[in-house]
Amino acid sequence: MSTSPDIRIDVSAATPVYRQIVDQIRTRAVEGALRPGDALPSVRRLAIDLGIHFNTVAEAYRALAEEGWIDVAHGKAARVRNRSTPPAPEAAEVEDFRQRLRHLIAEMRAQGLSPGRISRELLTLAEGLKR
Amino acid sequence: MTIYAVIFYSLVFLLIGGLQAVLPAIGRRTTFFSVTVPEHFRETSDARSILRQFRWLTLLWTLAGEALAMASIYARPGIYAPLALALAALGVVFAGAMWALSRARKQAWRYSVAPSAERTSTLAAQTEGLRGGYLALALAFLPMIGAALFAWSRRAEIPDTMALGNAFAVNGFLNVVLLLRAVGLLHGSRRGSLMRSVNLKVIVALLSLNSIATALFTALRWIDPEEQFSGQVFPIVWLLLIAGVIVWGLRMASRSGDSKDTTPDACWKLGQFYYNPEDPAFLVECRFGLGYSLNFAKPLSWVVTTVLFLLPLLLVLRHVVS
Repeated sequence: MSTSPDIRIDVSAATPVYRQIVDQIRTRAVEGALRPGDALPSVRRLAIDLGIHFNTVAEAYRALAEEGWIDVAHGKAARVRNRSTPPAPEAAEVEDFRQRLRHLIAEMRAQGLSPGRISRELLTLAEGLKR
Repeated sequence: MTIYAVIFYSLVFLLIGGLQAVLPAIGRRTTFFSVTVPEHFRETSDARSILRQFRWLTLLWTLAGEALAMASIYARPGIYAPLALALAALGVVFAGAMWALSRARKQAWRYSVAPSAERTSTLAAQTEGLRGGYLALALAFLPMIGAALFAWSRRAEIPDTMALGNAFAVNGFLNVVLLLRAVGLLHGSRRGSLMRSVNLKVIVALLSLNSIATALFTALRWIDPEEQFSGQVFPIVWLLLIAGVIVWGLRMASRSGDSKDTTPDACWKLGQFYYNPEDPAFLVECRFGLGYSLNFAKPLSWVVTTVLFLLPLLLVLRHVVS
């Protein structure tokens, strides 16, 4: 059986499907489950496997290419790029991340998770994504 | 001759009836007569009652079909009356099964729930599914091709080439259909399901069996030219082997009960025919049984269906005219 990473989407979720694909492939690349040079399924193949429109997958691959995570060339398999770490983000970008995290942490608190547990979860995740 | 025909028809209808009785019980636990149901619904008394009624109805229709098939054995000589009765027998079984299925489906609708919105896939680039890939498919064709070349090189020694020609035409057509199905599965169906791998294995087994049967049938022209033994025994042995492959496939498929089906219930017309313009897959797992269904929202599905119906019809017409 294949040891390649999996992708899981929820077509009923509020997050658009193309965004779920982008987020998951980016996460797999940061974790190291997808390595530079690894080939991704073709747009057609991933669309068939997930039962979604070709354009949704094509849009996700374009977004990943714009972010510098993959190389897409016509007629060739999309491949994970050897992406160099960009310089530290601007203060405005950091503030944007902070806002997103605040919303997420508020949601976690609303679900009854303690601040200590949230800190540990965030630390574990950040360590897990360290390359 | 009559006793062998009775045994042959009885086996055919036993196989059809047995399959219809077994099919609803295999496959995913979350679908029941092509309707998405709660996971443990199959174990309820309501589900058992629906299944029991379906089995009784299909048994009755199968017996009616078999009676017609038996009548075809004793029909007046010629090809038209027996052929018409045999086709009517199959038609009765098919129509009866469709009616029983749609009845059971209507009963199951009362317990339906929304299918899972979660979809998963591997991020592997390669097309997985068949060990040996196209080589396995090509090897399965070899006995038939070898037999065809052998028969052609020694065609002057065959007194009547009609039977051999028909065997090559029918089995060749069946093998091309199986080959197209395998290619369709490899490129146009979702990866990662046990049912896909089972289907591909069964296709390779049927291809090989058909191919070897044609080669044996060719060899028998020289071994048993008078068909004193092989003429009666050969079709029965062949049918038993086909039944064996189907039972083997069913046993493997019965382990696939945990997989999820994400296709919408409304896209399954009459519970058997899939029509979903938003699904890019060309072939999707049947909700009823162990096969795959064409997505009839794809124009190619209509082309394939038309060709598959027209070709045998043309072959029969050509036979009748000649």
